[in-house]
Amino acid sequence: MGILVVRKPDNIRALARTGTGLQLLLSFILIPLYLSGIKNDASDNMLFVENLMWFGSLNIHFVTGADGITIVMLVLGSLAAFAAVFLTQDGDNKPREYYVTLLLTVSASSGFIVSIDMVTGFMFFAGILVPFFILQSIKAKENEIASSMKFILIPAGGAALLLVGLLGVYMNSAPDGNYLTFNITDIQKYLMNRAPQKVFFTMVFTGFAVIGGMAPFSIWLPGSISSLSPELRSYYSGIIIKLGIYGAFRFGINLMPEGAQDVSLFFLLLAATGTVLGSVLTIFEKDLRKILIWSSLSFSGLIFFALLLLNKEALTGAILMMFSHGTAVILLFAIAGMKNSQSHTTETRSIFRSRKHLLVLSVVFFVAVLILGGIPGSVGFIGWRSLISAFLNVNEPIRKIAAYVVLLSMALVIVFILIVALRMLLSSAGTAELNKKERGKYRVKFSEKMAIVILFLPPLAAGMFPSWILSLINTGLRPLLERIGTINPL
Amino acid sequence: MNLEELVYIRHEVLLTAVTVLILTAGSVRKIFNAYTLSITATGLFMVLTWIGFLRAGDGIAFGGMLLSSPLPLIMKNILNVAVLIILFFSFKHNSRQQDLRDSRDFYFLIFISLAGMYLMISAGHFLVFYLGIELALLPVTALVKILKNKNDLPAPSGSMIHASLFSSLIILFGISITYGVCGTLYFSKLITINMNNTLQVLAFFAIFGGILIKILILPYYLIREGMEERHPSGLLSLSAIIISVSGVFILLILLFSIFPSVSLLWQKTIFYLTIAGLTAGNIITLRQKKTSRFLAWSSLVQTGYILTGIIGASPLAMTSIISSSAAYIFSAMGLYVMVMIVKGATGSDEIADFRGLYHSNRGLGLSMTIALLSLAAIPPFAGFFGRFFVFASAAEKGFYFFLLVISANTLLTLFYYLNIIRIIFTEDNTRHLKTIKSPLSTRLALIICIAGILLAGIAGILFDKLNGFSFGV
Repeated sequence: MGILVVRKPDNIRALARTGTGLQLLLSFILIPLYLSGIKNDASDNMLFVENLMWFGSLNIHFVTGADGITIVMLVLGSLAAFAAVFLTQDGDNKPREYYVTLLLTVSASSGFIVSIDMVTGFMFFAGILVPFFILQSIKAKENEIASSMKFILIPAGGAALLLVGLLGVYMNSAPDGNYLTFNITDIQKYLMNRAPQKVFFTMVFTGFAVIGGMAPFSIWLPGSISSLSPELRSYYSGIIIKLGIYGAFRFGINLMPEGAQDVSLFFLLLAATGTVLGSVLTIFEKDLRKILIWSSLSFSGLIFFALLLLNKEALTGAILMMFSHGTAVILLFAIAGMKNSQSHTTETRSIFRSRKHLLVLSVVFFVAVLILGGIPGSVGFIGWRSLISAFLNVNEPIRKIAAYVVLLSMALVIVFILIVALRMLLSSAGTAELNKKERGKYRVKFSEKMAIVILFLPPLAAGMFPSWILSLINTGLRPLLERIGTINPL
Repeated sequence: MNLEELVYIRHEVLLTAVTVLILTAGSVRKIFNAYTLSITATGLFMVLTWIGFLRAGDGIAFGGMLLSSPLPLIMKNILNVAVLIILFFSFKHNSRQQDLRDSRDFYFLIFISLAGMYLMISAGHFLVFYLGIELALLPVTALVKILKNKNDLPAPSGSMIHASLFSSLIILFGISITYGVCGTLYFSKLITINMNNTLQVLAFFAIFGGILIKILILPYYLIREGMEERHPSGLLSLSAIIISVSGVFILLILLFSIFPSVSLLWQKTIFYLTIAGLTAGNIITLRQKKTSRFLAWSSLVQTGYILTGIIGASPLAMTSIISSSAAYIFSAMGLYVMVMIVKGATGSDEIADFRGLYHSNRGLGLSMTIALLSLAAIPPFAGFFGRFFVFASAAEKGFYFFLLVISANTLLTLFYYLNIIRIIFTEDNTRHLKTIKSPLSTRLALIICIAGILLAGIAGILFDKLNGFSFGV
């Protein structure tokens, strides 16, 4: 079953919307399909595999397939794409180029999510960056040249590092005598030697961390993100950063858990630093956009931290948080963008003072923050639950301290954003006083309303009926967990 | 020599026939004019290219002096396609010549040069090899003379001949020593000899260095004399591409077939040479503002990337170099052709003048972006796969640090290519570039290039076949 999305070359907005809507639908359908498939055949957790021979002599195949985690990411990806298309503010200036490049990016991301072969995955990963860059160039003004170049060069640097790392994995992937392989399901089953694992895991992980939002590799991120348009920003934070995390997980931790274990302390501390840094900077920011960015960075640090703890609860929590943060941040950035176009500023103080923005938007914002913070009934709640219990159960002293520090900073971040959201809510109650004519200027379009509603569905659904997402994640994690159970620490 | 052997050297024979034909035709002014001559030449060469791809027997001709086997054949065919692209592009130029002789001379020189490259590639004996080199590169010097404007000083061409002579001498020097030390000049016998003594190493470096100089002469003089500024038809740059690719091919053949015993030596040389050359080249290219110089320097850098494949010294290395070269030909030639088209329309040599190209000329802007992305090794274009395989071959032998340094360099390359893409896409409301129309022949050249860029990477079957024929050290 091909999961790759179909790209529509001749676009009008409607076509783009239909496309992404379909994709979203498809990804929803996949969930029950996958789960039922798993029940019947519990031996291999990878389903829907499509395998095309590509370069036979190097054993490179064009392989795509899905396991539980893939499906979660796919849902996230489709949501983000959906949002990006529906919430586009001014894409009508040169619609064709805009939508084509946007959809190219979407296709590449989807392709990356489902790749099972490392070369296929890398190809898609690099293929995400370029259309995005072009998207930016079309819209960038003169003074934002530097940041748009940064936007592609630094991830490209990560990708270059990643490539070398992947090649290293490939060269070490054969049980003595057999063929080398790029296929990650095969590599997972084979135990690589420890020494190369350490080296290449570091390379692969760092390469992905650059785009995944882990400090100090992602310091460049906030500056560059602010130069994007709002819907692009939400797309980027919602999914592309998550793809970096996903890549680090799938191609890094999944394939080389022993190596991950060995260098985990180093990266754990880095992730913790990132989280703390992000939280501190969030609190000092006045601009709504910047607040969102730095807090996203904190969240990424949190997720990376959890990933590196390498136990079931932490991993589950990490993926849940990825999903929750992804969906929430799409909404948050989008709302911030809408506020911006209304009041032409994203300074929080001005937003609070102005009484002219829509209540609706503030409510949405507030609820999204609640989801992020883990209100019961949303996926954030389950995520936090897993994470907190995982963090509290850490044994070693250094890691324990780090975990507590991380939890503390995250708490700070969430509280802070909550306060911001609350103030926004309260101040916008003033729109009730505006007369109809003035209010008319600030209407939210129907398409945007629809998008917002749909965006809310998955996180709430996951929160209230968590079994589907939990079983997805569990089946995805199974092979990794089996192997982690047998790691003897060096 | 019997008829069977004729089949083995079919490329050479056919090309010679075509060359003689064109030469004669071009001298008969009553029947031919520039236009018909151009058509004849291009048409004949198209047939030749097609025939070249047909499989026939492989073997030895002239008692071992010429070898015909699948691998050299593939190389020759790649060069054929490259020359075909040049012919299409130069059609406009050649068909409009006043004097039939200018047209005829151009074709004559290109074909002779190609014949020389054939000899180099198929050589089984050092003398044939040397003959091939001379045959390949001397005509280029003459070509430079022909193509530049009539009122230029003869100096540039003169110093090119000096440099040519010098490098030829060095190569001959190396060849003579080799004969003295090894007692033979047949490749098939040389490969069995262990060459680790000092004298032979000296000879090796002489040959290696001489070839490098020969490859670099044309680009160097192009840059130094700023020839492209004075004669913007672009044909010289395109020839430079072919020469560097053929140079890479023969280096490959030499190093793998004759000097495998000193492989450690040349691996180390390549290691340092490429790192130094690439880094320096990248930094210089970054600073270029004029299109012509930018193109010249970036082609040096690209050749450097291809050469990094040699370090692997395995069949995979050979395959990766050949596929890289093919990708490079399509991408670079495509880029040059498009740049020349735009330069012809705007008359300017500044990169900044490409601004807004996409908005006035959709197709051209898009194609140029594709070519640039391919050169920058972005998937899914051919350039990416070429670079990827080169990396894979280096990784195979554990040269990971080397790879990291080269990867850092790819970032620099990416930067300046992306810069151009950005310029192309920027909207510029102050100037309005008119829509550029190109003659059919030029478009054909472009189509071949773009098709090559798009397909050459994805077509895995080609790669597998190639891998089947490669050999290593």
